[in-house]
Amino acid sequence: MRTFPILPIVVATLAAASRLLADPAAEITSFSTFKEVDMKKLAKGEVIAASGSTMKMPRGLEVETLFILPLPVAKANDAQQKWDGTRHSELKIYQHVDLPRRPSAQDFQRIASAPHNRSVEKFAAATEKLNPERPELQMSAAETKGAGRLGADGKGISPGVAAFWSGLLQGRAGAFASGGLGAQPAYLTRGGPVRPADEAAALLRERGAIQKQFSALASAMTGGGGGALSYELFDVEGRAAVSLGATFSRTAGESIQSGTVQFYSSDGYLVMLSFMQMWPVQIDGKAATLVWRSDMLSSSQLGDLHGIERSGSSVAMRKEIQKNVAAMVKDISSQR
Amino acid sequence: MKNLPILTPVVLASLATAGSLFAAAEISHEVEFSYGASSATRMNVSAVRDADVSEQSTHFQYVFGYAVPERPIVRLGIGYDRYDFGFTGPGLVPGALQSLSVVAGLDLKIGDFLIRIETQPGFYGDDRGFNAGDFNAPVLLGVSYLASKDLQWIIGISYDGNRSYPLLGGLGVRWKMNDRWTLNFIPPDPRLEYKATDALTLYAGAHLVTSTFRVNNSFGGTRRTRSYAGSVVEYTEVRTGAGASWKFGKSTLDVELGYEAYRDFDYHKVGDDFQTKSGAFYGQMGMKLGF
Repeated sequence: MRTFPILPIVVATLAAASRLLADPAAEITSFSTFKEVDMKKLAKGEVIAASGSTMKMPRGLEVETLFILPLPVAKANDAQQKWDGTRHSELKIYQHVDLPRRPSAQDFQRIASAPHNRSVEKFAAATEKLNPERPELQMSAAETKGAGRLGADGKGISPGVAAFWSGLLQGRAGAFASGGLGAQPAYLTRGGPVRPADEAAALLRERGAIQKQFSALASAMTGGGGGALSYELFDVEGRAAVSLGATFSRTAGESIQSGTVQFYSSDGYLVMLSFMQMWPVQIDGKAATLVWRSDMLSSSQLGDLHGIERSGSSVAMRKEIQKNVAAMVKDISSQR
Repeated sequence: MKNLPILTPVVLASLATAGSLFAAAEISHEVEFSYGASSATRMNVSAVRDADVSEQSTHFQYVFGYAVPERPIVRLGIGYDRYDFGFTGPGLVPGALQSLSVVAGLDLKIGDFLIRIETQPGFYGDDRGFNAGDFNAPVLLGVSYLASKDLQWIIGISYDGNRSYPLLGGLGVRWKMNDRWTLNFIPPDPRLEYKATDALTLYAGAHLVTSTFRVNNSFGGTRRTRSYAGSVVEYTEVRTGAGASWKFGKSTLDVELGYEAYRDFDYHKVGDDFQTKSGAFYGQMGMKLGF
């Protein structure tokens, strides 16, 4: 009949459309915690989060999220890299600063203008009274020598405290730029020195499928430096912390992969790896991006938790990450 | 020998599986003990007599936790509780109430819900020791919903077949208001906490103790138509107080002072009930060790 010549075109289009949707979903289910991808929910703007399976590594935890950004892939990747979490007071990110490839101490001077709040004051006070034998803040044994008696005045970050942290962060950023994660000094912890590179390697071993999916990116993130550097000042359980990170991205066929390694933090976690993969999809006939994300971290505090407390912390982390991602999705969606 | 080629791989595989379960398992131990004492308080100790009754309480519990990834956490342990009552002269308040029980339960996570199911089968008797008739197995179900890392809702239901109301339930909330203040309104120990330092927390709150015991077969004798021998007594205690909790490593030391507002011995099946007529001051010290 007359419809016959049209049928192959229709079938081919449907097949192509279903491939467009099915391929990312099939790919995601092949390496992630998600065993199905609910496009209907995602298309409504929902952020779906799931805790990764419990790690054998006592300090490790992983959360995965799925969401859609209403932009083509390249723009979505650009938007999420430029997203400014400091605009959301509920996320308690006080500063986010992008750094040059080889930052100098000057590039960290914004720490001196951190907001005057209790969280930052506690951070400054903890720096001032740091005990080199048992530091409350995370740093190496050598880095502890520079802390203490820095002229903290209880009103935010004093010049002495700012100078201390500028020096520490510059040293660590420089070590990463030249030697990668392996060049990061070990943290001095209650249980002995802990190297960020070892923690990152352990996290990746726990998630072999993700490591395989992102093998090139994971090598770049943990290997020889590079990436777009940044630092943040944020709240951890009522006390501010500073962190350093580097972001990498690459194209993988039609999709884009990006990853961030937070290779230093003064509190909260020892190392954090975030992986994202973005696929082009169509939502209501418009170009959009399906995003899968994994955040995995190693934290000393997690190592102290057992049983149901550990389970509870994974639920709490999932909720926090979901909140962060939801804020980003909302911001980016409103900019479209 | 003929079996070896087949048996050995199977045995080795089983051992490897069992070994990997143990290797992957997380094992924890929790020990808690406390001791408290309250001053004498006036209460009726029989239908015809009042007395000043003092109290000492002792609590011990050890729980072994066995957690294998993606499976419910098994909790097994033992517990001992004892309440000693001191007064002169005759009365229908037992000299002591004590329990020796096994703690058996499961902790599991389903989505955003953390669930604890626990039973404490054992012997709940008095100062004359235990016998088969003292056996009881109260059950507790607690469900916690994590709305966020700072807000959790808790619902608890307990079942004790010897209680006048066998099923009792309650709602609770844990709300971390800021980095200093936390409302831990979780029955039976609701409290408001103030984090003075990382190691020291100050708190004020209440304790509700309710448990059933069985007095011995010679208890009380016969009072006209009422026989107390071998009967169930439902013991209830309400305290309010303030304390300090020191954290060191995975352990805590609590010291508390307060006011015991109410104490009740309810022989509900006999139809008699003996209560305090005034309050008493108490002091309590406890430790929780985790390793």
